[in-house]
Amino acid sequence: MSRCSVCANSLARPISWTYLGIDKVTPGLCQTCLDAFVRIKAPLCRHCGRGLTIEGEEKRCPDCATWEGGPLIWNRSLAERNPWLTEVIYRFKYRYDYEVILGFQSLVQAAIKDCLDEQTAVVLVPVPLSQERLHVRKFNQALALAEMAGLKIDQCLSRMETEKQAKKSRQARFAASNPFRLAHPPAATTVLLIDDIYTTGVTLHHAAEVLHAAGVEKIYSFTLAR
Amino acid sequence: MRITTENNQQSDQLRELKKEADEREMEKVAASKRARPATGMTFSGRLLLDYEYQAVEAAIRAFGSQLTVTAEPGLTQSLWQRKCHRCGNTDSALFGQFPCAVCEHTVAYCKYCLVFGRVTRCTTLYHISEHHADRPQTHASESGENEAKVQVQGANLVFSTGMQLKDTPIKQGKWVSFQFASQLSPRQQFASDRIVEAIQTGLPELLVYAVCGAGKTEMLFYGILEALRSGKRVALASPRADVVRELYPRFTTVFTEIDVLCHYGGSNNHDQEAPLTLLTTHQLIRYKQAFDVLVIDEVDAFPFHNDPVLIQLSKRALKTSGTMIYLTATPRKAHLNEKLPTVFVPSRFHNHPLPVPDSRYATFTTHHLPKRFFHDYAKHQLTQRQLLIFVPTVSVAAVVEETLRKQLPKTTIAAVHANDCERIEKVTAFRLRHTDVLITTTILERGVTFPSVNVFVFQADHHVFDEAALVQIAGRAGRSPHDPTGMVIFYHRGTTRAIKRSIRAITAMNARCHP
Ligand SMILES: [Zn+2]
Ligand SMILES: [Zn+2]
Ligand SMILES: [Zn+2]
Ligand SMILES: [Zn+2]
Repeated sequence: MSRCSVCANSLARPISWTYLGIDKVTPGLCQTCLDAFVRIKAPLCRHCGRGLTIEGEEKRCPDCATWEGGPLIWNRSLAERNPWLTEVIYRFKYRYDYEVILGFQSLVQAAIKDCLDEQTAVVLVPVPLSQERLHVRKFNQALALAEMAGLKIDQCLSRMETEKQAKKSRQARFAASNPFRLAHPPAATTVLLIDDIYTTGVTLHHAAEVLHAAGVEKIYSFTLAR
Repeated sequence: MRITTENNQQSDQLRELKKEADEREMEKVAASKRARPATGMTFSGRLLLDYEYQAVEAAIRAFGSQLTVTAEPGLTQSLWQRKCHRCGNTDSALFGQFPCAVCEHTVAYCKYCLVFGRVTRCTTLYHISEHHADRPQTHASESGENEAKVQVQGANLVFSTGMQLKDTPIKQGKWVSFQFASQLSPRQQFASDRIVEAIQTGLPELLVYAVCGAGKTEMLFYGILEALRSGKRVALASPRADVVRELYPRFTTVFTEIDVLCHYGGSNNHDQEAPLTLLTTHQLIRYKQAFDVLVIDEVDAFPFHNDPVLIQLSKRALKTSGTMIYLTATPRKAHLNEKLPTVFVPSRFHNHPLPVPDSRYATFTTHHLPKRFFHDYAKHQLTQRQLLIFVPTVSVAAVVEETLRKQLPKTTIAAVHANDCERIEKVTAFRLRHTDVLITTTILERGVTFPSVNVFVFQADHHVFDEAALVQIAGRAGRSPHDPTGMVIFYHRGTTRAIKRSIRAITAMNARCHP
């Protein structure tokens, strides 16, 4: 029997080969969790991918009114960061419960395919963790998300930072110098950065700058929550 | 607009902060009490994950040969079974796996004890134990009895047994100040003596079966004093953080000079330790061979009842030579069948019988309360007591609250349930008599004491109200010596076994001490 990866409720599924153990069990979300999940719907801010309440001509949110047009072309996110999703991400990132996220597999896969819109030869670059963090968490949450898409992954970035992002204020994050370095030359000229949450966008902008300097032409980003 | 986004982020962070806010508050209290430097005891008995161990490794090394560190794998797996060595979980549904970036293998991890820090296939567990060749037990315990008696008669004397040990350096656990002036009732005294005896003789297990309101905590004080004086380490495990929070001030006012450690929630204070530890039952996961005396409060209740993992954990936390004391007001058959040495305290500390519940047939339809209830409510109003209404589910609580508000506009009514963020405030308001009626789910069934209440149970035939729950609920009434009785009414649509048995159990307990 397959269970919801978030709350362990059993999933009602039609009788299939799964029952005989022949088919692979694909994890998913139960109806209760799907009800709590709020997908970001169009109209979107064309920069940061936030859902807009009214569709203005500008198609940008107030936060992006001053978007300078850095190397990051746009960001797209799957879901709104409501209390439910915050809790899920908390368990995933800070309780190190890797399997919590597996139920999002098909949603993430479809959303990435969707936002790439027929663009081929795109390589996914997960936002890296510092070595210290990686040693404690033992997995990179962005890599876990990137692996769901079934596309080519290039871990060409590394991170120097040791401090926890979540503990810094918005100002401190803007002021922080770029923590990313190039681990090896990027494998493509079009790149989709992958991360778990888009909060201020600073992390993704920093990563994009490094990729841009390394000669990547088109840089986009995708996050689970916005 | 920029400000609003920041506000959103802040509220998110607030949520996370709130989670740990009260824990941190307790830690502060503990920290202010803690002036002593770390001793070997600080670490002994601890079971640490590798990263927890790394954080305190230098401090442990400083104790040299006083402490022994043993490493063992955190999780082992064979062809047919995985086992977590921190919590003992072997349920295959409670394991997950992930590609580990450190050892570059797909490794299993335990989901049962995940909230205490993740144990994976590639985790090492460190068990820290203490050598104690020199525990002077003898003369401290011989003189103990007499002085404790002196203490009962003379009020408020600071009682310190450190006096006989002048020539030995004062270590924690031998010098114990004890400020406990209240007189125990003869039955409490009897149980208290049995507990002291069990600890002195190193009896492996003792079941203390005491009715609700018998004063279990008071019965423990002398036993704990005895243990602490002979340098033993004591822990009291309670199922809920609420209860631990309530116990903490009671223990610190009695044992004024020793460090009392409070341990619950996600608090990660492995740099502090005290001879007396109060913790939630689940926190026992962090200990192995740690305590000489372990008191398990409410063995019959969730989460302890029916959880073999927790039973294993509590046994592991106790030293092999230690004494386990189980407390219960409503023992399950299994406990009685085990034929443990048992002390039975059939009467309340004020020596009045337990209020015997009335059961009444009454149907509840949504938004309509039965006539019999209003009839009883009129009687209740004559008693000057507050009213505690137990309901089976959160949704029923909401409906009853709404209906009562309409029907009784002059009374102040509140409803609480487990995930209510104002729960503590509402319960405090009720205790201060700011509210007349409190509607609650079974969360207030245990541990929480109000001096003068009548207790009604709606839909008492619901399956959440088992025998133990109903006995506990009835035990909320008549707690105070100033108002030792109370109305207890079970409303039901057909008596269940639980209703019949709970009433029979209460009557039987009354018959035993008020023949
Ligand atoms: Zn679910
Ligand atoms: Zn925007
Ligand atoms: Zn590993
Ligand atoms: Zn475990």
